[in-house]
Amino acid sequence: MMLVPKPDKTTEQKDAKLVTRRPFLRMLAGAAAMGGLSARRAVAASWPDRPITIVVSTNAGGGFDTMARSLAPALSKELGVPVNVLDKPGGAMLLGTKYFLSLPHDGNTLLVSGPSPYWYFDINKFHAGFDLKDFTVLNVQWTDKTGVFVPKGGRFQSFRAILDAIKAQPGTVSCGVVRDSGEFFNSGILLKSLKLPPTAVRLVTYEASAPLRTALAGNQLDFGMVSAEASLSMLSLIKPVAVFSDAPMEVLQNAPTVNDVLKPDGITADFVPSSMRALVTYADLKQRYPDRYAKLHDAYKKILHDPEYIAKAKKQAIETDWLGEKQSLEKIKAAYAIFDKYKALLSAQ
Amino acid sequence: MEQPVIDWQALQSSLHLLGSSYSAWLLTIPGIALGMLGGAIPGVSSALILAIVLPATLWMSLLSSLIFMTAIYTGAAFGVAIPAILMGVPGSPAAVATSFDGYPMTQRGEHNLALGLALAASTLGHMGAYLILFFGIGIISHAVLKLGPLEMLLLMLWGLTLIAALRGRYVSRSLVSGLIGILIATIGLSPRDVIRGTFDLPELLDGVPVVPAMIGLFAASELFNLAGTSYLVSRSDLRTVRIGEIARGMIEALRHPIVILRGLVIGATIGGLPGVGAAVCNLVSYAETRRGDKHPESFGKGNPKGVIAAESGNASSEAGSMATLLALGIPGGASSAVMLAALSLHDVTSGPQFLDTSKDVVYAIILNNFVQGAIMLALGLGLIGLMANVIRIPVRILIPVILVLATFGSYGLSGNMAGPLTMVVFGLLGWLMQRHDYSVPACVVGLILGGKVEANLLQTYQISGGWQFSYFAGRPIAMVLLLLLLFSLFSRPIMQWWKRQRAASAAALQENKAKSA
Repeated sequence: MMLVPKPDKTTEQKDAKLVTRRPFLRMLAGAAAMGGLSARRAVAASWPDRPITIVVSTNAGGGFDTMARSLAPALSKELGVPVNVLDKPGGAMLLGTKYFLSLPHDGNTLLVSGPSPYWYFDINKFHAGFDLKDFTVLNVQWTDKTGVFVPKGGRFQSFRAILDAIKAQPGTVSCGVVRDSGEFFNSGILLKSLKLPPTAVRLVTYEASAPLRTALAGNQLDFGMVSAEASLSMLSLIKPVAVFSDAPMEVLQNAPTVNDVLKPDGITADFVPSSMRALVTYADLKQRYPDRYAKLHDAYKKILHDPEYIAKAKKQAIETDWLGEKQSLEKIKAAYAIFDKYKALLSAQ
Repeated sequence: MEQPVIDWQALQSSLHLLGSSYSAWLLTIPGIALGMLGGAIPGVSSALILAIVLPATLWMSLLSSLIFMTAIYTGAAFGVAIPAILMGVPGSPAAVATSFDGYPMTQRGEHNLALGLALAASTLGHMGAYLILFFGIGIISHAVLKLGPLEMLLLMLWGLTLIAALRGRYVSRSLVSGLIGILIATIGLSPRDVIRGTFDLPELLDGVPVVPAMIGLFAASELFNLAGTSYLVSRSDLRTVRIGEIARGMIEALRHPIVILRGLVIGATIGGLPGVGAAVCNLVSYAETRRGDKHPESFGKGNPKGVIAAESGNASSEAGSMATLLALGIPGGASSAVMLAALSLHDVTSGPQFLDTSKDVVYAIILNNFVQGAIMLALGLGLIGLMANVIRIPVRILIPVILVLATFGSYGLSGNMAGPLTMVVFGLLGWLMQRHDYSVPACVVGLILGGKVEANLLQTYQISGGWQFSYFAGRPIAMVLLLLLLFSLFSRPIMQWWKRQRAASAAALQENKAKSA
């Protein structure tokens, strides 16, 4: 015998005695609610139950978009629902990223964006109103390095020759970079390390990398600094002479690292990656929907270890690094530390 | 390393490819129709349609998907001319110059003729440019690379001089409108990364979205113009759709081969450069034809040559952008960037080697595009026969319909309310400008070209080390362009001055003779 009988039970018993229309309806409603609840629970168990969208904060056609489109069918296979790609370009990735944050934080939307350098500029220059803390970067899948390229048949054919010319005759050598890019920073850091003023090179700024590569291919510039991986298709017209990396890269014809070339000068230059392409979710997803977070995380991890996906991505020149959440964040923070160190370059433009 | 102009073996295998791939042919007609219909809705660009169909191309073969996409591109290039001619509201920046003479023709009741002109000029420009591509895709794509920022700057300045030409009642007010357009184009991140005039709105970081702004300006100013009228064409007996007249327009276009040729050379060469595209080609082609004409003052008032020049210029820019896309892997604009994505979806590494390894595919695309021209002619004839009926719709119904369509279109472009809001704001501006005799087209030209001119001006400054003469001396193409520009700007006034001087001295001579006699 219970000391404190459950009130709803007693009501139910009463209702059972007086089967009038209203309580009957109430019971129906209750049953319906119960049914609905269990249905919802079932849905929660079978999440995802509707198409998932990957927001890309650039135009269709670029590396970010290509990466998202390569992941979409693989994720769809893992999660059992269609996965769509939605391009939301604009404002150095700011608009797409803000759009992503404005949607319900329920795991039905993912983001492919560039934590470095774009978010850094968004946060520190464009007053984006978001912060690194608002996101969980599932993984930095693709890290581009900055390559130093010269036109085939151009004035200089080695990075050493370029450096010597800049030092001997400051202000005569032209260098193309994309504005607000990792390359822009790397060019500034390089000049600073060489103790040369910003005017030592004729810095030519482009709004995107395609026109910059076109200018290089047409021998309009003495040299250019641009994302190495995205330039591979142009290697019959432009030649890599150095790379901002810790080790030479085979795909770049083993061009020496910038710091190897700088060794005789007794200098080691800091550098940031050209760009990081990452799959991102909301920071609060893990607390609000731990099961969904786990599902997304595991599916993505599985894809990046799937030989079939890796082979297909390789054909499209998409990198397939798996760093995981912790290591990705460390990598982003390391890049941000270098940006912070040379923050003066942001306003010097 | 001499390469033969035509690789016969690749050509043969491309014919085999086309002959064995019926799906590619099946997709051509719907592609053109889709592009044409989409292009005819103000605000819907070929890039938008291509982005929508991109996922579907995953299930097509590489050739089929590229042909489908170029078919959409082809159709849209003509589709945008229809609202430009019939309603004075160009569907995309690519048809701005088309409206300059096309719309006055409609107002005169010559809409059938103008549509016929545009269709023939588009088709010929399209096919002609692909013919150039067929013989010289490698040469063209490499010639394009020789154009640096200085050359681009001069070409765009050429287009910008249109501002002075597009005058209303007062020259000074046209110049002010052009300047307003240029100033609006400087909103957002500058090419040197300074944030200008965004009022801390992140939506403005990339500047004012050109297409909704342009539609707002044109549509609202036309609304104002039409407020007192009941139909687009005032004379009721001219308010008809006559296929015979359209055909007459098509034949008329053939009478101006030089105009078409000029347009297609401009389109095929500079159309493929990143950031140039159809918008610049149609303005430059129009500006050039106007200036080379014996009666430049007749342009802007319904001169058929204006329509031909504009349409051949924008239709041929597709071939130009395909040249740089296929031969170099460089996307010239938003549309070809989506095609690049399609290539990548098919695991094709685009770039210079694509032309070497897949020349048969490239030839197949070019050959298919010749046929696309013919299909466009047939489909276009049907479509304009249908669309020209808008002249029978009372203006009080037509204008709201256009505005609603344009609102949807601009929403589609921006994906949020920024597009429609821009349209409304610029609609108000356009209404004010029209009311006070400030030229709206001049403002639009400034808006379209302003940013590109600034970027190239800055790059020229940077690359030349701050205007060092040695840089300019080493650029013969630029020098020729500069001389041509100066000649076209000043030859007429100088000639007139010279004639006046001669007349004056002759008169003085005669006076002297009379005196001495």
